[in-house]
Amino acid sequence: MLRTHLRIWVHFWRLSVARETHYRANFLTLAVVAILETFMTILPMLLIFSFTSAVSGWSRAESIALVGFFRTAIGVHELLASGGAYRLSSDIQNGDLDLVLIRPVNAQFYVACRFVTLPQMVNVLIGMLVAAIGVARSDVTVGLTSFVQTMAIFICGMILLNAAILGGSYIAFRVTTIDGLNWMLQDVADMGRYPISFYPGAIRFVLTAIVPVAFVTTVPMDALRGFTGWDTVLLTVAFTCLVVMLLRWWWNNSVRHYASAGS
Amino acid sequence: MTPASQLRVLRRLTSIELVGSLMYRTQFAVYMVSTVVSIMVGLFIWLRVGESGGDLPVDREFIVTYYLMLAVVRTLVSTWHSEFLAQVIRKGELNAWLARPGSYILNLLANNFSEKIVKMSTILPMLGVIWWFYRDQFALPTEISRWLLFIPALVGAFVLEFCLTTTIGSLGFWMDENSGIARSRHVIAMALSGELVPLALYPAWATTFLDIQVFRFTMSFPLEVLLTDLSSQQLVAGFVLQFAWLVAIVMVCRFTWQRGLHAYSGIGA
Amino acid sequence: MQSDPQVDAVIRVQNLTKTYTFHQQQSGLIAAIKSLFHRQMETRLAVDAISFAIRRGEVVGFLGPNGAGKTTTLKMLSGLLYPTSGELSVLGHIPQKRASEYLRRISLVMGQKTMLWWDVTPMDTLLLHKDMYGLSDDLFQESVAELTQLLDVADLLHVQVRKLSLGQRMRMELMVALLHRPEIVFLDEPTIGLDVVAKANVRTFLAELNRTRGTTIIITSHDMDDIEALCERVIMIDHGRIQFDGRLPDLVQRMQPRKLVRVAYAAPVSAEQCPEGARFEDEDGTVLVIESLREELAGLLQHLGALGDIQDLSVNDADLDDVLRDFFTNGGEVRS
Repeated sequence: MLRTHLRIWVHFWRLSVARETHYRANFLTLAVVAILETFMTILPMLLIFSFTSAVSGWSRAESIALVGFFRTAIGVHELLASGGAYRLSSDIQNGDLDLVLIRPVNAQFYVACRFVTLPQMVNVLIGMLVAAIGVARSDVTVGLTSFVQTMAIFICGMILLNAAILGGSYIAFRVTTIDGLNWMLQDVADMGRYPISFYPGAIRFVLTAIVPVAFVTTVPMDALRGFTGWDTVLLTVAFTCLVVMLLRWWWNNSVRHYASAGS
Repeated sequence: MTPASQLRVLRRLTSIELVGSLMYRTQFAVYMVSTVVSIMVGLFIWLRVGESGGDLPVDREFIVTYYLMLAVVRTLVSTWHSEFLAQVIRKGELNAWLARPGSYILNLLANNFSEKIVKMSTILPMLGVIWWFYRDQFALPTEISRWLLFIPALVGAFVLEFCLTTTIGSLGFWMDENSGIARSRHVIAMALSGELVPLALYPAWATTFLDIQVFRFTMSFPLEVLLTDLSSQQLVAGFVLQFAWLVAIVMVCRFTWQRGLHAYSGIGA
Repeated sequence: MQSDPQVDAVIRVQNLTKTYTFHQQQSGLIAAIKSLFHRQMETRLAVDAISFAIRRGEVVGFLGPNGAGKTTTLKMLSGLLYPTSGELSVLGHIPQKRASEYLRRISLVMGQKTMLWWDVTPMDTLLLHKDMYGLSDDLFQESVAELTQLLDVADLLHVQVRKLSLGQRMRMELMVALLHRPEIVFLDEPTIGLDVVAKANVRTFLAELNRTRGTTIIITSHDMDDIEALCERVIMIDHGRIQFDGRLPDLVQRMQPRKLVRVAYAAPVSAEQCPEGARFEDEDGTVLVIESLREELAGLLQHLGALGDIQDLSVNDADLDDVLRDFFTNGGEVRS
């Protein structure tokens, strides 16, 4: 079963490659936009740290590394899941989900992963590059332990972030218009480009518990800086498992509401 | 058509568009949340920089007032129709308009006006909430003269924005896909218009360039007129530059639109 | 020997019922969120306790006007919708559990929806389906070769889908749907929007599929020609109930026992001599039209022959389209 789904996933990548060869100019523009956007996220950091050397315990290089983490995670989301999540609402309204549910594959997997947006690879690569540069220029020394901890939390964080956005998109099974909700979630996630300690308490809570973007930015960066123990890692993993189970339940519960447009 | 009859058409179109926009008002409210969120981020971050000992050239009062007023100015000035316009052109939907005496540009204007009415009505309550938290640090100028100068600067900013967006939209006459250019323009404008960070916070070596480039006059300039002590010399220079940019962009816009209509093949109709 | 249809049936439906509950909802997100907590509920009975059985290899047409419940029934059979009550078994499975062993053995084609990926070639979609349905290389090759020939699509397999015409796309749609050799195929309005030639192609193909592979086919269509060309059995559904279940000619006969007789005479005939119910189609009284019951037809023709010199005579069943339109506008009761 797992092998079948892995092979299907490979097909989604192949389809994306086939599609992009028809739209090569698109790839180029997206690359340019990705570079511009990355620069635009770094620019405020450069300005901020021209007035001070540290804000809430974060140095310039560390903040830039965090931008790298953020852009990598958002890039992965846009690469793998956002295309599918974005289309869910209209698929439900047009009844196009019929032809997904009729296939002998896990529909939740299919809906989330069917649309690989290949050009977003650019964002992922730039994000990783920025993170590497940031870390290299900071005072942080990366040991094996802190590296493993950081990666574990970061991967959990990406799962959490995608779960939040996908979970939000499932609301489309119950209400008619949710396009706006998707936008809102993305906007809130966008706040993760700064360390959450820059924000007031209420916003920190939102960025940790509701749109858990902190788990791809501040929490893994804290682990990298050596502020985190294994207890945080375990807690994050446990929290992620819980959220994944919740998402599974939420999907099953939502599909029952599928009315398949057109009687 | 005479200007008077054009105005009448514009008024009618606006009221029609307004009904359409009102149907999507909750949708707009959600979109406006994004404006509020992005502006709050700037507000929180720069207040925090000030608190953690950053030696800023501006005070808390300026940051709070700037970002709140930025939300208002952004809502009144921003135009987003470039991708939409390109699509209308590509799909051949423009034909229906070309057969009528009213210009399609009028329709775009009407669409913008009606959206702005709805957007303002949704964003003001949200800003009211933020204002309440920061009301001690919020201070608008009391001099009438600043407000009187603010209004032409704002109108100029809107016309500039509108023509820039329409020009990029007109590229749809020749290009299959203009969203890359449209997005690039918005990203660049974010940095250079003072939307991301007030231009006053940029390093001194960049000041000359920032002062003369076009995006300053689409957002930052009205706010500078309202909130900072520009000397009369700076004011005159600012308005002259804004007007110069305005003339240039309007001409470019007219030129591309006319050339585009010429090249228009009306595919798909 | 007539076997019990309930025994060797591949589809068994017992008192199947589906009600839709929907709420009065204002547009917009806030109203939508409000309605999460407080809803004005309304229910509509879409399918009302229907029962039937379908045997392997049958071709069955679902007939009925819009909103009659035929598509809802089809969607319950294919596992897309949860039935509200009643029993339902297809190939020994309960469809709404959507077990992959079940989904592997059926297929659904919808005239207005596409399974093809828009920006790539049909072959890319076919390869994806190969893995989705876990087909072996041999079976895949064989199936592709067979369907390519049957559907005559050899030159379309490597063309970007968006560049295909509607008729070509429908043929590819069928190919994708039948690649895994389903035992039952559900078709919802498969010829909608197609031109006459394309429609005929689809029909020929489906008939061929049924004949060679013994595939069970369930089809809903507005197009009576589809039903006439393919279905030996029709199930007519209206207001969520089965109004008729049997052979198509029987349906026509039960609904419209009358024949339409049209006679053209060489010279005008006098109105007084005409049988009751007759009317003239032209002004000078040479063309006569009259309806007649089947059993009275012989006597009527004799009478008409005596009226004058007949130049042209036709006796017809009413068109199936007309029959059904008549039937549904007259309150949906089968005259018996």
